Amino acid sequence: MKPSPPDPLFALGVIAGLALGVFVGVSMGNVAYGMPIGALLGVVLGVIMSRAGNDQQ
Amino acid sequence: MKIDAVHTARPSIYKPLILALLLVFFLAATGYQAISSGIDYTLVVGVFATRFLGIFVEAAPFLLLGSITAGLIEAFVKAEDIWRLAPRNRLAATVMGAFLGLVFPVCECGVVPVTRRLFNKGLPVSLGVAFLLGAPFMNPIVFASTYIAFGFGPVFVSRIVITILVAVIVGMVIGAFAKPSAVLKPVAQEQDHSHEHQAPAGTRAKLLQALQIAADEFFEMGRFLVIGAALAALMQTLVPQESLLALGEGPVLSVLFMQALAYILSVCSTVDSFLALAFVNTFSTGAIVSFLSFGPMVDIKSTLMFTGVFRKRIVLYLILLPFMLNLLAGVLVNFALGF
Repeated sequence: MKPSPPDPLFALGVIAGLALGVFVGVSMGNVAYGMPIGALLGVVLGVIMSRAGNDQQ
Repeated sequence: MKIDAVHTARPSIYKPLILALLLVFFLAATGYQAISSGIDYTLVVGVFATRFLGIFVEAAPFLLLGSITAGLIEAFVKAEDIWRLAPRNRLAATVMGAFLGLVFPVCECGVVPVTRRLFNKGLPVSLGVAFLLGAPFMNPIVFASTYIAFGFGPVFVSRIVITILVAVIVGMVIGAFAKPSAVLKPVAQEQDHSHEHQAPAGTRAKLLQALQIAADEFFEMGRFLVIGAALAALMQTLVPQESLLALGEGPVLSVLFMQALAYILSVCSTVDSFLALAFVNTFSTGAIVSFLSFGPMVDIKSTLMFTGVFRKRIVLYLILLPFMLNLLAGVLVNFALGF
């Protein structure tokens, strides 16, 4: 039910969020600037993808 | 029945989706406001990012330590051992809980997963709550940092006494009316039971299980840490300390201000003494003591972690009771030392 670490969809969501964060950071001139939004988006996307995956099973 | 219902219910994706949309909307609105008012938004974002990373990087190793401890408890400690060691008398059990941090040295980031595991092993509620509130200070690392920062004086002694008293009182109050099943959220109980069914026999297998649980715990609590750290960083960036400083005068308001600051800053208990040292000449001793005793018990990031593990009503008690007791203690210290 919860997004557990072995869930590849959760990990994929986290990576996607962090990648978006890096993109935001680079576009602002400093990668570190994008890290907070990247981490937050990572958590949110991880949960969304994990739950969406669970719903389909 | 209630737990069964939770077992079968599928969590919807709409909640995190709405959260994501709100996040994007908030960032867009803040960015637009910053640009239109002529503020250098990269400076604001830079401060926010630095504070976020500061809180997160500082807390993550301790969360990992707490998660590993929780995994080891789950794999190696039996429920019978807890029952055998915990005193039957509630007051004795609660006092033991307040001192348990000396055995499990965890700060406020790591104490939540450890407490959850101990609760699921049948730990009495009063003992667990006292441990949850007391352990972030009652451990050798924080003793040492407080001693180095303030020496053996009124701040050091008051911090110990107030932490023990508040932890014991809150433990007794919550333990008086709440059963272990009424403290934890059903999902937290469900997760732990799933591990119990597959208890391995050998030491190697148990170690592997402990690591697996630790990883699980770290990612579960890490979510709340990320959100809590972001909220704390946001508050620090948007609410300038100078404007609050003017409010924090007098024996009562100074304590209230420092409690609010401790909650917002969400500094790890291992280093908060050095931060408090900067306020010594500005604020009363009661306010400093209140900052040092309330901060490790409750702050933004630990509140977020509480909500992931405990029921809403318990979270409310875990915030309000320490807040009021620490306020009272801080004001009393101020009057005792002749504010």
